Amino acid sequence: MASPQKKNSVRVTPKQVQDVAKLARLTIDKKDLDKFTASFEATLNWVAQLQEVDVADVPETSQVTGLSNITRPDRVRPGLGRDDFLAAAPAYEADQLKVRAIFSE
Amino acid sequence: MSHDHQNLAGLSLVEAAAGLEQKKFSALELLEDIIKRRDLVEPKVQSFLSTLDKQARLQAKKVDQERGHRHKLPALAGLPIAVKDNFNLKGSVTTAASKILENFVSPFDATAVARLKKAGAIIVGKTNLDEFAMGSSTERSAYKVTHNPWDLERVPGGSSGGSAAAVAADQCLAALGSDTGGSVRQPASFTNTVGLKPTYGRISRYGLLPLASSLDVVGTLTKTVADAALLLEALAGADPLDGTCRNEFAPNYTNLLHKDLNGIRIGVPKQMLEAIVEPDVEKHIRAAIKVLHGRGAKIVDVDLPHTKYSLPAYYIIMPAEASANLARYDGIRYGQSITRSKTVTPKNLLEVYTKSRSQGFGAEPKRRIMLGTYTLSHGYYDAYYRRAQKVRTLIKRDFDEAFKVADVLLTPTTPTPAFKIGAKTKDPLAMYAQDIMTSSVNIAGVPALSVPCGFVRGLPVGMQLIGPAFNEELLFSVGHAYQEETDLHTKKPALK
Repeated sequence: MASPQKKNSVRVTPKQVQDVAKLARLTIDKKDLDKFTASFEATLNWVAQLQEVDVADVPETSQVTGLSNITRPDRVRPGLGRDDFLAAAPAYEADQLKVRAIFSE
Repeated sequence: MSHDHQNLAGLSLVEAAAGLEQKKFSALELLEDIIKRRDLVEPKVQSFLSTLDKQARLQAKKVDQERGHRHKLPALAGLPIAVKDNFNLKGSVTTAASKILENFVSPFDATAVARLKKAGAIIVGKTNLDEFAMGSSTERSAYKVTHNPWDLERVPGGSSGGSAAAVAADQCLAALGSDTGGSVRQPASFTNTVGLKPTYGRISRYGLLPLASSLDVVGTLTKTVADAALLLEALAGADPLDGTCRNEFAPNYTNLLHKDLNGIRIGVPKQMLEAIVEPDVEKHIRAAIKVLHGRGAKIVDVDLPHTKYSLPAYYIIMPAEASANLARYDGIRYGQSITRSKTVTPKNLLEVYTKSRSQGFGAEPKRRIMLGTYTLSHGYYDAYYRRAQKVRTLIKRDFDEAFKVADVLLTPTTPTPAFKIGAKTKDPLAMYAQDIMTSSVNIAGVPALSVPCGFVRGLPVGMQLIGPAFNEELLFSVGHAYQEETDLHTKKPALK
């Protein structure tokens, strides 16, 4: 199921689209769902052409700089001030960012 | 300080800098001419999302005062430059052309912006783009569509379409853009401007709203290759705020412009020629090859066998990284949030996320976030994302091999000239195909330069010069030599 072998063999259901949407913290309107699912499936079938490529023994490239473990001196630097931070905040109270509860009672 | 009434807005960066230094006109006069020009054509072109005239005028006056006192001013002093609206500019609204950042005021400057300011440039406004830089036409902006100055019924390209159109229409002397799969080069090709995509790690990405962190670069739209060299001098270099920015020596690019082309090997990859859709594009590419041959370059054939896989690889890697980068727009710390709503109360925290994001994001960001989430999820990660990263290695190896037999590669930038507004919005895959010649370059992380090389049905097309990593100076010398032999870059749109 995970590895598409034949052309146009990837199938996606509206339910799967809704599951992915939940993971992405998005909602797809019911009226758009079928059209979105069809176009989503078409895109997945198109990118699946990478299955044709022989990648045996080929390592992955995550980034091309060749850099790793870049560090900086452990010194305090000025950061974003509280006023700037709160100026952008959607909800705040007593100089603190206000959010909905994560845990219920 | 007097001058004949010249078309100051039509100058290049280099010409304007010389004019300012020789006191042919003042920075304020230059700025006012730019503002006048911008406002004249803006109803037709629609390049700008916001303008910064008040601050710009103050800065211009300051530059003029300093020129009175000081012997030498920084390299970009008094030059009016625009910035794509996915760069943070302190105190300005930065929207990324999305509703989710409507009214978001940047609390800091992106490093690229700070460097422009340090070099004395005057930032005149923020330009339009496809929402979160996702697109190839600037039609996906949540605010407005930018029109190609060469034919107002056509797109300027994308995602840096606002920046490209503004430079092409003389609404600014140059502009910053960003390039993840072609977003600087393709609009440059469509608008008869020069688009630079530097090496990944050449210019700091700090403060550029990220789309795909392993592919994004800061790029420039300019009127000439010499201008691109001048701008890169101000922008290039290490930055402790960007761990992917290499501490690689940045030479004085302007001084290296006039390098002799004798013996330089220009490689022409056949796979790129095969991807051309409009035959006249090939005609112009072949003519450009002849010009460079005339300047002493050697022409060789090269092979980039995995070219056709660069698009699907790009459309797996980029949405995957985008889905991670756009997770920060969650209605909690900044941006549009359902918690601000007077009519809807979210039931719980999950609804704060889903409702804020679903209302704030347009269709294309949603599509790409979903694609990325799917290909990164359990059961699909190996088949899609890991495989794409392996194909990425093969694409990079293609370039490494090509650069053993050629110094610079030459390809078309786009398969066709600019298409009509609305022509490709129904089918996402048709739009994605725009990146066929440009996306492999981002995958390999190497630098590329789009240079105007001809007109097809009255519409501009560009050629793309691709070089080895951190060798932008070679691209500049080839491009500059071409611009010494041709005058295509001096043509201006009629803007009727």
